[in-house]
Amino acid sequence: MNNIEEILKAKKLQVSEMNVPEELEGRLRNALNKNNQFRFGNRFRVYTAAMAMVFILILSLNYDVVAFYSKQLLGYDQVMNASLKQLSELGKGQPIGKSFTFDNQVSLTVDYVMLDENQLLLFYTIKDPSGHVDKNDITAFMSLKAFWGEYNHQSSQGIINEENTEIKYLASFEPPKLFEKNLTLKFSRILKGREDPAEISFTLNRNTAMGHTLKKTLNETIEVDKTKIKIHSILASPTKTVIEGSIQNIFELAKDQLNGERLRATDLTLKLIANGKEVERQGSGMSTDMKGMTFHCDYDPLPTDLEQLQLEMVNFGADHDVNQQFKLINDGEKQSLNIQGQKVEINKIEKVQGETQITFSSKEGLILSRVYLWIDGQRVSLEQTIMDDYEKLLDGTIIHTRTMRFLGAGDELKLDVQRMTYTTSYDKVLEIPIN
Amino acid sequence: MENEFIQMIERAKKGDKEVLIELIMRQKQDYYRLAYIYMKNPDEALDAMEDMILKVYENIKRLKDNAAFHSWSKTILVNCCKNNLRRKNRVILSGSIPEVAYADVFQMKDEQLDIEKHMEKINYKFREILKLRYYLDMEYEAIAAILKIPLGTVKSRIHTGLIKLKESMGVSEE
Repeated sequence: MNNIEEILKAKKLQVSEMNVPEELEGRLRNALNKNNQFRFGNRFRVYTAAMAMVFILILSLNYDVVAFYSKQLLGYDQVMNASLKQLSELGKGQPIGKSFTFDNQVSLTVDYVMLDENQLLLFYTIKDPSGHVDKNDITAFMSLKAFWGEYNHQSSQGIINEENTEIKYLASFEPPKLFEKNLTLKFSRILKGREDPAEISFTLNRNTAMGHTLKKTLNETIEVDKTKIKIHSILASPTKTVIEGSIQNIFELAKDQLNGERLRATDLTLKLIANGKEVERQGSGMSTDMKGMTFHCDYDPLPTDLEQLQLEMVNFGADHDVNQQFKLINDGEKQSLNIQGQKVEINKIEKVQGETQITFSSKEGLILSRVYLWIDGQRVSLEQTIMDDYEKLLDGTIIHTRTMRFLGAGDELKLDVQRMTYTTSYDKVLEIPIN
Repeated sequence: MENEFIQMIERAKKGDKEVLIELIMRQKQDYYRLAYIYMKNPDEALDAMEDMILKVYENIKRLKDNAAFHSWSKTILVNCCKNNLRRKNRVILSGSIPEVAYADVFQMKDEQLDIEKHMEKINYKFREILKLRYYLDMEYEAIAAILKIPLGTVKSRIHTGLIKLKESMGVSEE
């Protein structure tokens, strides 16, 4: 084995025994014959992945389902929440009634538009007379193109009728700028990997727009462990209420990155309370980019007789860089580790058939998200976590006990915790001035 | 024979797709193996060949030296492979990065056996040439023509590449 050229030549034999797949000629011919068409390659997959991530970020909107008849918006009552129904009853918004039909008879009709400072709501219908509307190939990739810019689709939900011939959608877009008047809805369908684009243009009637009911810059700070959550602003409009804030600005983010102490927020629960009653949450999102780590929380519209408004910090959870090693003493005694102020109790270390099994308990919500075990100087990855057990204590805290399996056993054990996720509960209340 | 080949190129230049396919198919082994050592997967090798034939079809009018058709189109194939590899990396980046990689325990054993793993460790420009030279048994001149680099560079890269590979595998010079 010493002669490297021998090894390389052995590999060469492998390569030269390789047969050319028989489909080669057919594939070359195909490639040449479709060469005028637009080809979707890996790039398309990138977009699909990005799209999937956007959808994961946008939490589902939970509208209550109360049957309601509305004159302007026939068939949409299932996708609207109570406040939207009220608005449509009052005749807020603008009927459009324009459609586009693809050559397979599938059509998209823009029925209605509602606009305020937070969002543009587009009510549209997809129809498929053949009764397979649930399998239509119109992508959720939509945008509104206008003279000054393009406004992105944020979220949508729809409902299919029983005959499976139409879906009524309610889609939320970023609100167009004040001077935008002519909008074009751009959408497309994917047919055998090809994109078939289409558009519908309409003119926005600004007189039907609804503006805002409450708009305030807050600049309040709530301290949570290791960081500060800044609440920047609240914007309440007739269709929804949005709280915007940030967790870290770009400088703090960069500093932590350099120190190897980054935190990745995983859970942020803010409760909005109007006149002592909780306002229902519609969704929320978080992003990390050049502006730092920012978030927004969306709620239902505020009540019209607003007297008091409060924001309550309920939960904050994040994944933290730890990068610490803990020597484990295997003498049958329990061992308590303090990892960034969080208690992790090692109950038992066992050698089972050449494996090391470590049973430990912590508060619920604490996860060792990247952990290794050093066995006699060799690093071993976590194989599996087994035997989950939750126990509720008298004071209400829940203790989570589980066992980690590592392949290999030895005498000297060190637990290498690189990352850890934990959530902390708070009950801090912020008063929001309403005048 | 020589004449027939030149005539075929002339016909391909006029847009005859079948002749073009015939030209590639005559050396299908060479093309396929070349694509394979870059892509390491039959399917992606075929993908790269599809990309190549399109580029060849679009650009064949610009080929001045008809006799150089094969080395010219192989250069295109290598570039298509490199493009696809680059694009593939991007897809992986935009996807999720696996948090818990316990597979690396198993990989450690393979690594000592498989020369491919050591190949991956050495610099790309050496790796590429070593593969062309040893896996495909290509002449120095042919490698220089396809990669469009001077003959001397090919020779020196093979020499340095072998040394690096030996270092990586822990083989001492005899």
